[in-house]
Amino acid sequence: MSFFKKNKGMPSFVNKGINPLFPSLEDNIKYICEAFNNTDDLKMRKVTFHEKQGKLFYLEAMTDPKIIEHSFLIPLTEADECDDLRNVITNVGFNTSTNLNDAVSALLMGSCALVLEGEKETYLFNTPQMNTRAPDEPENEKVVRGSHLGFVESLDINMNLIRQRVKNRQLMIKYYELGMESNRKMAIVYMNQLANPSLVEEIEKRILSISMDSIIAPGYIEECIEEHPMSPFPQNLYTERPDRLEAHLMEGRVAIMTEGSTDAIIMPVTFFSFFQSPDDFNNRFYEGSVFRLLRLFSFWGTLTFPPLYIAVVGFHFEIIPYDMVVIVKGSIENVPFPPFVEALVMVITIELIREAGLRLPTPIGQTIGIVGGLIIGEAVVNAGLVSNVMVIVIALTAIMSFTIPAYEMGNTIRILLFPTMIAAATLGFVGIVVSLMFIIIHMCKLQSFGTPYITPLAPLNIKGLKDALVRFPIWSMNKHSKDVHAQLPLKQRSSREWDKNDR
Amino acid sequence: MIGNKEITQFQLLFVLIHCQIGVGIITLPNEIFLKAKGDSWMSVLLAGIIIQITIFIFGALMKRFPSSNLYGIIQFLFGKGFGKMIVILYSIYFMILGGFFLAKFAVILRAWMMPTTPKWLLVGLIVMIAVYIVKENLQIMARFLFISSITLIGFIGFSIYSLKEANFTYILPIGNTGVVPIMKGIPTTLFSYQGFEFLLLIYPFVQSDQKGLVKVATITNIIVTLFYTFIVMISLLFFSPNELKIVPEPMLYLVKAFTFKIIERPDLLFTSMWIVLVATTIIIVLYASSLGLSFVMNSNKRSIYVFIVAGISFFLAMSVYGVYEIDSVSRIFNPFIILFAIGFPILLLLIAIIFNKKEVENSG
Repeated sequence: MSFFKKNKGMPSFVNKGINPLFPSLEDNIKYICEAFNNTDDLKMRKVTFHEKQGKLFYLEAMTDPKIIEHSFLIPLTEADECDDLRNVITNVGFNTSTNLNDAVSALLMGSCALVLEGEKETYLFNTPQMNTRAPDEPENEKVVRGSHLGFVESLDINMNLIRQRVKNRQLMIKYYELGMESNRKMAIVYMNQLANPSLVEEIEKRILSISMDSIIAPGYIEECIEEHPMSPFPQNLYTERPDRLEAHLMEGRVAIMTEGSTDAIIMPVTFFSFFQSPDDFNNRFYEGSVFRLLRLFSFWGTLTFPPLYIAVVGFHFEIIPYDMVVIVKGSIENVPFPPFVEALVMVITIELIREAGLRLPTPIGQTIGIVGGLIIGEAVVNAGLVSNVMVIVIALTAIMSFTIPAYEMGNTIRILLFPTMIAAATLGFVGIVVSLMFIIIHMCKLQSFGTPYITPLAPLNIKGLKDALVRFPIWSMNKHSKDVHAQLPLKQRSSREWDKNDR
Repeated sequence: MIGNKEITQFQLLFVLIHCQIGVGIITLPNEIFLKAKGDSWMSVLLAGIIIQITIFIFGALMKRFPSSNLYGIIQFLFGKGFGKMIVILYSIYFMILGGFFLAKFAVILRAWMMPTTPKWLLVGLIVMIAVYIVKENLQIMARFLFISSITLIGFIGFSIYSLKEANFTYILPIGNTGVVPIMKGIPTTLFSYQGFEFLLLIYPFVQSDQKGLVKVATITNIIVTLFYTFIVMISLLFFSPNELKIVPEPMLYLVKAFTFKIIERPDLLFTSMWIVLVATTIIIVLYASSLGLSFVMNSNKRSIYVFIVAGISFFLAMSVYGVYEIDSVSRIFNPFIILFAIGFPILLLLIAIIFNKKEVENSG
């Protein structure tokens, strides 16, 4: 493959060349054992077939003994004199190779390798031990209605979940192996007749240019292939839900999945994709629309509420009405710190509570929430360190940032809050306006695989806004979203035809 | 899909709107009132008509040179050496314009919001924003200009609210000031309208033919003229003639007069929105100027020149102090605006017609 050639300069401790089988069995055994450095879980079993001596290799940790028995050992005992070995092995994933290194790689994937005395080929058959959990609802993408199924850590099962939802011959699954040493299997999934070929080509090109020794998680791939790796904004959508992936595939988008990870990365996506939730489409469209607007509002609210409060208190006290001045002034009167320090302390506290509660077991996480939220919040006001209005503002902000369905986007916005707060503390409203302009300009600059990040807003596409700002009724969204450049523009014809004929 | 540097007609509309609506919006009613009194709004309308005629002239020029821009035309008609000098003059013109806008912005902002903030910080922030986006291509600028148009809605909203207290006797009887003051008001208005020559710089990057360009420019002109007429009219209806003479920033005073249940001083919000409009104007001016410099240097890397241009504008802005100095600068500078924005393109068209010069048709 081309990317191996490109990476010739990189030192590798694995021999990937072609090594034909040795004439004697002993040499072959020696070679394979040495390839694995005589690891203890490499097992061998003596096999005799038509008076020929042979050895069956398998990695104990990777293979399922029952499959080995059923697909090879039992048929072997029942085999006739004249049978070909190819017919004896009843395994589905049966293969032969003249290259010993192929056998080594196959063993790593959970295959068995059979080497017979004097034969030029090894017999490889697939006997992997599947060790995965059953698909269940993803913890971080819960919905009220609709499917409660989530991806698991096995690529095969995930592909099965996708295929089960999209029963279409145009569904393309392309497997690649990434990571020069760890050989992580990954898949590109797309609808062949829908996804734009140049998009697929571009994604493939970028993926093949990755030269890492190991790809541990999809995040590794994402950072290598996205256009603006230094941007704080996520440019690819993560999902653990097959139904969400299906919806995006049917729009003509492309997904990447890796073995050992429950996440599918969807691309290209826009800013507004991060605010969509499968629940939007399971609710009536008013609710879907209102709640999506609420999420978009939360995004900008998170970004502007604390800075606005800081600016008002620090610079523009005259903007709030007289009655409220009394309340606000009364609450900050005895606070020894400037509002920026107050806000910073509270925001960092909230981040600490989140970060502490995130990885702890649920009962302890709840304790942290109570200790952090209630006790600190209450005590900090009583002690007069932070004003109670500030606590309200920061708590509200934290809640708003967690309403965004995509976890990454919520993090982004909380990070962006810090510079905006600094700007508000130094320059008041001017600072807020300037930092908002910076952020919006930055968003204008972003592209995800050639798709402008804030399309369909800019460049404006009125029809695209139907599913971006709000959610229009499903029967009114006849076309695929334009930003993906799908090959077939039409999604549906009139799905409420009955309504027109009925007079 | 990737690397397309063109903008659509719709985007052009918003780019042109932002070219024209900028810093001047806050002070225009006062400036023009000093010239044309109660009939100021007629000056604004007439200025709009003059702009419309200019747009048709631009159209004729664009028809003759469909694929090069103003700088290309200048070089084509005047030859390499002399042409490049004129392009440099244009770049300097845009730089001075940028510096002037920045100075005016700083003065107004310091008077209304940030009395103790140092001027260099305010000017520097806007310049930084401008540099951040002007480095990129026109497409990205067009996206941002479209989004920042939201602020215009706020402007119109506040203005409409003020109609509540309109007093129509302030502008009656119509035409009582006579023709001469109205005519005198036109050049002042043209200063605020400045920016439509940007069309001549970017038209090759628009996915449209010459007819479509003229159409979009005309629509822009109608929108902008109506917008300015509306703003001037509201100021005229709200302030008595004696008041309007002494309020230098009528729009801000007007908004300041209101109080709402949750916002005591809406003028602070208004000023914040106005900052966006200032930024868009600076963005466009710096783009025009850097485009000129990179054209002169035959360079494809505009970003270096953006920094140069932005730096020069920054120092120009820092070198002008106070309201009166700005006023006197604008008095000197006004004729140049008319020369560069209207006079020169007309001259180009005349030369092109007299010597019958046209762009050589490319095979593509």
